[in-house]
Amino acid sequence: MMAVTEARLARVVTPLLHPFLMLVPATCLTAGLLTDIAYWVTVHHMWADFSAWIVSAGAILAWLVAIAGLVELLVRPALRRGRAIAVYSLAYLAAMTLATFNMLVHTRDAWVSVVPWGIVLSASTAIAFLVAAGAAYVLVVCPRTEGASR
Amino acid sequence: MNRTRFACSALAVVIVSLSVFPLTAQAQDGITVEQQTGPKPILPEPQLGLFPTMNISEVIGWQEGETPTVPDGFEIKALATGLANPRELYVLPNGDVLVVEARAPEGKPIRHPKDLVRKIVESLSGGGGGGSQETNRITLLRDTNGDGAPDVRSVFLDNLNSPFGVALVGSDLYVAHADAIIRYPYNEGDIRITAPGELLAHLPGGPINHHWTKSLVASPDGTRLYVGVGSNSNAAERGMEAEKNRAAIHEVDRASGRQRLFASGLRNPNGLTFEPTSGVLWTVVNERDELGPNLVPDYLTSVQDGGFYGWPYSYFGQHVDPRVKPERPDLVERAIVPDYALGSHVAALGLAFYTGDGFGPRYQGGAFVGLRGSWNRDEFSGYKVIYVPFENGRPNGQAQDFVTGFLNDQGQARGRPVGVAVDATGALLIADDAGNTVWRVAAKSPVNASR
Repeated sequence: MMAVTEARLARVVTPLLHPFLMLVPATCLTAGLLTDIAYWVTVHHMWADFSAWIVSAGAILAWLVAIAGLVELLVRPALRRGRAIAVYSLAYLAAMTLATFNMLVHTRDAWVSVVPWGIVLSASTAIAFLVAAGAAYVLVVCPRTEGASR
Repeated sequence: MNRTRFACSALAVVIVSLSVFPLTAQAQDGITVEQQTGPKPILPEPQLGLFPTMNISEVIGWQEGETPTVPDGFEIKALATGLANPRELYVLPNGDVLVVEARAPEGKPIRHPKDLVRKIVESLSGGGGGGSQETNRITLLRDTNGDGAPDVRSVFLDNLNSPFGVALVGSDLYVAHADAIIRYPYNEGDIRITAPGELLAHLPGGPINHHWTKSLVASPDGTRLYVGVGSNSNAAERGMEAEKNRAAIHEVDRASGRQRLFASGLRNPNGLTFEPTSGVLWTVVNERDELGPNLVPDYLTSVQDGGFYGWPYSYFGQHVDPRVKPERPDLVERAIVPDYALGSHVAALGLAFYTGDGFGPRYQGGAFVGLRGSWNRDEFSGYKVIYVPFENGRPNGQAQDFVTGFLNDQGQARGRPVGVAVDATGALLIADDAGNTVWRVAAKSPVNASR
């Protein structure tokens, strides 16, 4: 009997899956900030090439993960309540949009693929992911508290 | 949660981003191709779009009975069809025409995600042409009676490594492959060479070999060869190590094979030719892309010994390219301004001075230039053969369209002109690498000099 109750409780508090998926593009795009900085400092084209690949991969993965998140919100209406999910979604959409523009800026050749707009966009993307991660902490660690406060 | 505020914020992010970055560069500065043709082109500020404009005309080929358009008083006929990527032409002393058929070497590494995208777009446009036909060979055409219809067609040399330039000195025939100059024995009247070639000089080759076409010409006295070696990148984005001895014209001593850099800073020099009256070396050069629809004009220029022409640090003299770091103000300072701009993105790939007399005095001594046509421009430029008048060995006057009609009304390409040459009868030959044809333009009736 006890075990069944526990199981029901566990189902109720299952948090969003999306913040875990988000870690994949977030890792790529944060790495892109590091390779951008490396190019800025060294002016070695290898780093600009690294940035182009990793930012492109991050941007495309961000879109795929966004689709997964959208499905999650559609099939689980309960998750749509509360302020944290709004902050989380906005921050994630901002990161995804910035990353998309960043991918395009990184198609340019040499210096202007990174300085100044590439690096600005990479840093903004990283900040947006930090905000999303903060909101995700609230959503994942204390989902019921957040749910109760509406 | 406030849905309206949420939607507004999301929309704001998109609008702000779009206003900061123009999506692609549009020809909004009102500069025409004509204003960028001549010794003093108008140059706008560089535009860095969000992604490179790619507008490649779809290759549809020539239908039965279709030909390019020539001015009144001229006629154009196909000298040969069914070729596989004819790029360059060379007329032998006995009047035989060599057609160099070639495709880019394979195995170029993919450096950047956009290389993948470009490959897909180019394959959709059907660029290149020739399908899976046998190429990388030289075909000989012989027109015994001079009626413009060859009666001998022979595979002259085959199994070559992306050949391009050809030069004959005495009985030594030189072919510039993608990575070397090879010498073959030639006797007047030969229609096929079976002897193995001998290496004269290595040239910068793969694995990148981005601009692979090695244009070749012999000095008027026959002692030296000059060979164009294009850059390995658009604007040094592969680093300057990849550009060693590239974006340059090499001088090769014919006797010893010793070579030196004759001129540099020439992004992709093609159509190397000696101007007949002055004996000065001239070339057409393909300039850089992705700075907007009206940058940078390709050009026609005389080549000075030891001259530096700007690439990658600057264009058209001292206009610094913002993409190239570290900067080299010492080199930019001595960058030579080219002689004659041909328009942005026109892809000038062929050059021939008119040395015949069949076209009349108007065309005497001037230069025909094959413009393969643009990809990095919203409105097409090039896709024609133009004529640049010369006087006293220098360009003199506005360039004129000579052969047009390579694009149809829908902007599809029937063909793309590249190499040009003047044949033994004074007719102009044009290699059309997308139409897989060699065209021959002749005056309808010989124009006499007094007219």
